[in-house]
Amino acid sequence: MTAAQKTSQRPGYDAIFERCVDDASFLWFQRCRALTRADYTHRDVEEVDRRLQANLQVLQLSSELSFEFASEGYSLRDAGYMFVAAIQAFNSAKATLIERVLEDCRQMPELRAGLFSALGWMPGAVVHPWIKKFFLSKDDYLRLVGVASCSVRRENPGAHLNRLVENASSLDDTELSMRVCRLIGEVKRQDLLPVLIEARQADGAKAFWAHWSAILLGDRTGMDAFQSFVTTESEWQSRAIDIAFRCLSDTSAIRAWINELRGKSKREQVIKAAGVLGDPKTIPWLLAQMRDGKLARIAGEAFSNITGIDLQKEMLCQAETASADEDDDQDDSLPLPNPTQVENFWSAAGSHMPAGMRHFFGKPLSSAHLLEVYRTGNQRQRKSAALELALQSNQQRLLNHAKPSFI
Amino acid sequence: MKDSRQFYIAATGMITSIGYDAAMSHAVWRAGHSAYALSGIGNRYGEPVTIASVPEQALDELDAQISDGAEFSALRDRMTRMAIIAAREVCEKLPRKSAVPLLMVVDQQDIANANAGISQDLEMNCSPWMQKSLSRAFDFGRASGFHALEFAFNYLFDAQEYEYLMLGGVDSYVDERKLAKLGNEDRLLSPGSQEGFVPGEAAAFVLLTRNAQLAHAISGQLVAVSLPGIDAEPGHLYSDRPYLGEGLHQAMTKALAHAEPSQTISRIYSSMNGEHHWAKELGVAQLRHRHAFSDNCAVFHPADCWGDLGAATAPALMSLAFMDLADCGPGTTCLVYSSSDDAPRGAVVMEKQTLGEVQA
Repeated sequence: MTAAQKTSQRPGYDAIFERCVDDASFLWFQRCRALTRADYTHRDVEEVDRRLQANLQVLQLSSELSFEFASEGYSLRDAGYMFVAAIQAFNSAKATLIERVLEDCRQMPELRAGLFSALGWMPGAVVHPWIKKFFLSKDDYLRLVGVASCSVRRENPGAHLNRLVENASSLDDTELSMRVCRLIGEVKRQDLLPVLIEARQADGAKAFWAHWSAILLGDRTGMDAFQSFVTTESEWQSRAIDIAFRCLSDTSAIRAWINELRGKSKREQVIKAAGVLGDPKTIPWLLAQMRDGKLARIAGEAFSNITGIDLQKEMLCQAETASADEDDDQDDSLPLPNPTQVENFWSAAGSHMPAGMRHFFGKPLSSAHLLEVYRTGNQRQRKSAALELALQSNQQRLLNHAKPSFI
Repeated sequence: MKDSRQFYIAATGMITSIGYDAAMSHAVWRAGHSAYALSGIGNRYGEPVTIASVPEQALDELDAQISDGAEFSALRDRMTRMAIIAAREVCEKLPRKSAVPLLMVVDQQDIANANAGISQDLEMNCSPWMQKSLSRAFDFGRASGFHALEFAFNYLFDAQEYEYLMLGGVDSYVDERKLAKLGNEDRLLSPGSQEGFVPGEAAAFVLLTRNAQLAHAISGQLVAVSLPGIDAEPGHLYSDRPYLGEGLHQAMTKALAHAEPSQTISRIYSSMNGEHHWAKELGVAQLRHRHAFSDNCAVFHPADCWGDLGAATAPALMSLAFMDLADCGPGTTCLVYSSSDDAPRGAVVMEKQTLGEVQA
């Protein structure tokens, strides 16, 4: 049945429901984009969430009609519409609608981001019974949906996860096994570390996430093997750098990793590594990188990550020129530093920071400071703070900076 | 001086350009959608006027008996249909099938029709709750709702035979005669005139009770309505006298004195429609009563979503405030006010209370 065939109980108002479906879908996309941008704070994302939730509340008044409008949208492979459709399906508790979104996501994997996000958006009372069913299913795809839901919700599925990993055949499915490995780290399942150690022997995504989660669980025995993910260009390199340089403590190892990274990768990744590492000793080198137009923004970000100096607040930026390149590059959200002004500012104000010691936004690492950055920082800073917090304690789950503000 | 009498809201019903019922109108307003659309009607410069009208389909598909009266009027037919839809929404929530007094607020040019026609059609289509003999019409423009509410306090509050009373309003600008008049005065929003307002239309009904037990309570929280403040603006839109904002100031003074709210007012629901003088009027009144408002008091003017609702403004704003307060903490207090094109000004304080406190 199409939306045109199905009308609401409110004759003449279908166009408003259609508009709310379009807006909710767009706002979801805007939200996803905001989560990785430096020009969005938690408050900004809260405002997007408020608008998105307001549209979803309109749609709840006519779930089935809204579902039909959304399904027309996601048939064009737009995950935003899948997010809206999934919210309608699960809120309506109609098995036919839920089965439809699940099947459509099975056929069109590019829609799964919308489904998983929807399962993280709704209250536990709505989705928990379904997540349980997914874990109990023999269908690997449904198990994947269950695992991904727990991952975005940062919820520990308890014995369900044990049963899943005990069933070795389940972990043959690469996407499922990858997501299981990731979840183990995110929710700090120390008891499942052996699963990760075994999974590290695999290749590709499964091995990466097994390493990543093992590091989160405090296991550093696989760092040597992890080095190739850090130094070799791949889809995982940025994530690998982001976690690895927060864990390395031995100075000679750091030097060796940086040297290898410099030899094998773009300079951009070396700059990011310096920012993650947080050692003020790298500041003179970062200041030099700011003179390279293409690297200036990320060098500025790395500088701020270490020193806590807000380039915009301290008016250390240069005027932006309109870019002809309309690509959605997340680094474009970073301020463009004025190297001379930053250098002058640093020489006047930065000498107090001891070299050879890790710093995070101007201060040595402490839980209180990390929580403060998580509470008040921009989205990129919040993500980094969440990772640092999770690495500091074996009990601390990885906070989800993408979690809807009202949950 | 504080007046301890209070009505409580038991139900609301509404049809607007953004919603077929109160819940939808409220949700769509909160989502920030407007029903503004360029119409086929031109102003005196031939520019299309922006309007916010109720979808024809909503009115056409209404199952109702509507009398033609002595002479068919498309405008009256339209308003009657809207009134029936909104009134039925409220009547469905009434626990007993007995007649409820109706205080009906209508367009100033349509008072005769309202008395004779709309009330009769409501009786025909919303029986047994509506009876023409139990209805009374008011025609003071946007502020009429507060005159009707004051009437309810003065004459119906102590009437023991009725547990409920209905405050309703219906109005429509979707009428060539009205639009032509406003167009000639350059008051309508059009591509060439950003100072004008968007004509809208709606019917809104609020079911009131003095018995807190019969109020609509969510988790033991209900919304109380105090005695409104009514006054007149000598320098109104069609007056030669200077416009000093005295009328709204006095209306607010009285409303605040009647209510003596326990908290400062954190929300204002306003009849502002986009014409600049209304904002100045509120600015003056709010400044003179600054002690009564919280520092971050929010001002809502839903005409930016559903257009100017004319006589239906006050009950529509009260409905909106009632639904908004459901999400607010206990004690949250809001002020609802309306200003007519001519002298009448009205304001009322609405406060979220706990059932336990009210009974104590």
